[in-house]
Amino acid sequence: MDLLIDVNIALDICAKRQPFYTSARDALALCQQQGGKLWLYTGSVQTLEYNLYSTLRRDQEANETQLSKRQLHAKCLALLATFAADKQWLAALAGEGNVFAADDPEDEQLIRALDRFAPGTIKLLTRDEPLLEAHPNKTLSPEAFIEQSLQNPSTPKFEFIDLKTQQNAIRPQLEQNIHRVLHHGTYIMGKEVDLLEAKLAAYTGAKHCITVASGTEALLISLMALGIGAGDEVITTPFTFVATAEVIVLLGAKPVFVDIEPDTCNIDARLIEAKITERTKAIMPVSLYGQPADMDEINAIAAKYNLPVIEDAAQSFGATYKGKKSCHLSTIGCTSFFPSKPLGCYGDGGAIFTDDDAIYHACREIRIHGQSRRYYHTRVGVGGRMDTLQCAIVLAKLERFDWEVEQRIALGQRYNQLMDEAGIQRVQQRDDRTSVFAQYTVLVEQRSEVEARFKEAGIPTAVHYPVPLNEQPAYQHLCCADCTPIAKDRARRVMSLPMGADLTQAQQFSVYQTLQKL
Amino acid sequence: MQVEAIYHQGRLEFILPVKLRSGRIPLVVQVPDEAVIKDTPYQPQPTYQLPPEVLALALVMEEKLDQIRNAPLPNDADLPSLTAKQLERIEAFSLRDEIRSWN
Ligand SMILES: Cc1ncc(COP(=O)(O)O)c(C=O)c1O
Repeated sequence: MDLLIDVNIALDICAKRQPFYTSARDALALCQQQGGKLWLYTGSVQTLEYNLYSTLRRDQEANETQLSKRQLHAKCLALLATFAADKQWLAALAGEGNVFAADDPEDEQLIRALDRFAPGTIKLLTRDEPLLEAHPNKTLSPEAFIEQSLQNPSTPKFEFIDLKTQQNAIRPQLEQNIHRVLHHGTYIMGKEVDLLEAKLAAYTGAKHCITVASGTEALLISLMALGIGAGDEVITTPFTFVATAEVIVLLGAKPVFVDIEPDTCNIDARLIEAKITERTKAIMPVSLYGQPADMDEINAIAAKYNLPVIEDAAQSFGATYKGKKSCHLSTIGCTSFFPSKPLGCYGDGGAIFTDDDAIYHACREIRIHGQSRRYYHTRVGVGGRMDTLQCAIVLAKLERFDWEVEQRIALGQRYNQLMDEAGIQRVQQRDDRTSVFAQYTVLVEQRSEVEARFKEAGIPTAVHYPVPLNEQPAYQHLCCADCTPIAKDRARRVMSLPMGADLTQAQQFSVYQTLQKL
Repeated sequence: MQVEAIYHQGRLEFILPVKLRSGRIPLVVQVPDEAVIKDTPYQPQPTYQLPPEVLALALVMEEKLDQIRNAPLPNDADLPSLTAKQLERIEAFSLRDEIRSWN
């Protein structure tokens, strides 16, 4: 459970006010130790500052110490800055509380701010008796919190991907970026769109970046820009998220499925050439689970037959292949900013990357209904823009992204070590590339039993993907199910474990212990 | 000795001026029953048996703030002077305390 800290508790701690100090201090420590977050309300900043000032002044009168007003004030600010350093700031929102009609406007706002959180996940920690009496379900005294937590220790929910910790870490930047968009009001194609495109292009090293409405839209627009349509064939993998093949079929073309490598689960480059026909118009490898496929080999085959290569990098933004960034490994790279992706937004979003000027211009036009200028449509397009708010959110997340990639790689390697020690089969990574571990995936027999064990232990798992695309009812007529035996086998055995930059080593170890007990 | 005093806004004010030695002086105060809001006999704060890791965390926080509490402060003259706005706020907040004590 999280706690919103009322001013009186903050003052008890900063001014070490006895007899209240010890319980207040211990309640905060207990909350943190049980995985809760401690929140301070931005609307209380001045109350904190000037009430602490007067508390310190009273103490000094009682103790007969002689500090000047300025010294007292300096001390007060230093104490508050240190106290606030490991707390979360909760923004004061207009409309929370009938500010001037309430007996105590600040209390009214504090109480109402709690309603932003899921029920029961936060309480106001206070020793204000009238508040405790008026809101018994929303408030707790330090003593009540300690008693309750000692009796029923709360354990934080084990998330498959922990987006909450990330959000808490970047909240000030996120809120600033979102509010800027609210105020400038250019919700479509605002300046954040250009800024994000420039930053993402620079990050990947690609000459151009075009943000679009989703990862699926990125693939669709790319195929449209290449002029792929009825009767054409696109070579790809059956062991992927459905969007990869869906966009091909939507355009009237045919996905030609090539089996995967048994160890990486990526498309097997050695099997591609045999599938090329005069109708082949593109090769679309997927950087599955966050690791690029054998792009040199794939690019070489494509060059031989003069074909473009589209990397479906929906899961691999941030990964590298022989020192180059994913999304900049072939003719076109497409990524997704779906919330759970390594770089995600808070809705749908995606991006296309290319060095090719003609493809860039085509993608930009197709993204906005094929228009070359307002209301002049030179080609058929789609409504495929990424909105300004989502771009503003990715911009906030980018600031932490390098750290997150490092964390993901380190956690992936630690998982590898633990799995290898325990003799658990896993997806392998090649030495000449990095994976950002969009998923950390192991191979198990009797998967449903293993899943049940994890469920019992309160650890979420997922399957990416249980049925290869050539066995899906909507696609099975496009390729015989038995043509890709490795994909078939892997679909039966893969299981993804909790992963994300904020996964703790303790959580990782409990995953390992659950696997070991099988 | 016994002296009469008035309790007002958290302070005791002597009716007749009394000169006291400086420092803390423990007093015994008689409070009329009707002035007490409710039955609030003095209760010592409860103590809890906290897990050692919680206590360790609590002490880390305490240590950080103690360092600031005990750090020598710069000379008054070396600090920026309080602005008119800050002084106004100090006054405003004591006024707020006063308004609250009316109820
Ligand atoms: C491999 C792959 N391709 C395409 C997509 C589609 O991305 P989006 O969900 O942003 O449309 C996804 C996302 O789930 C994916 O994993």
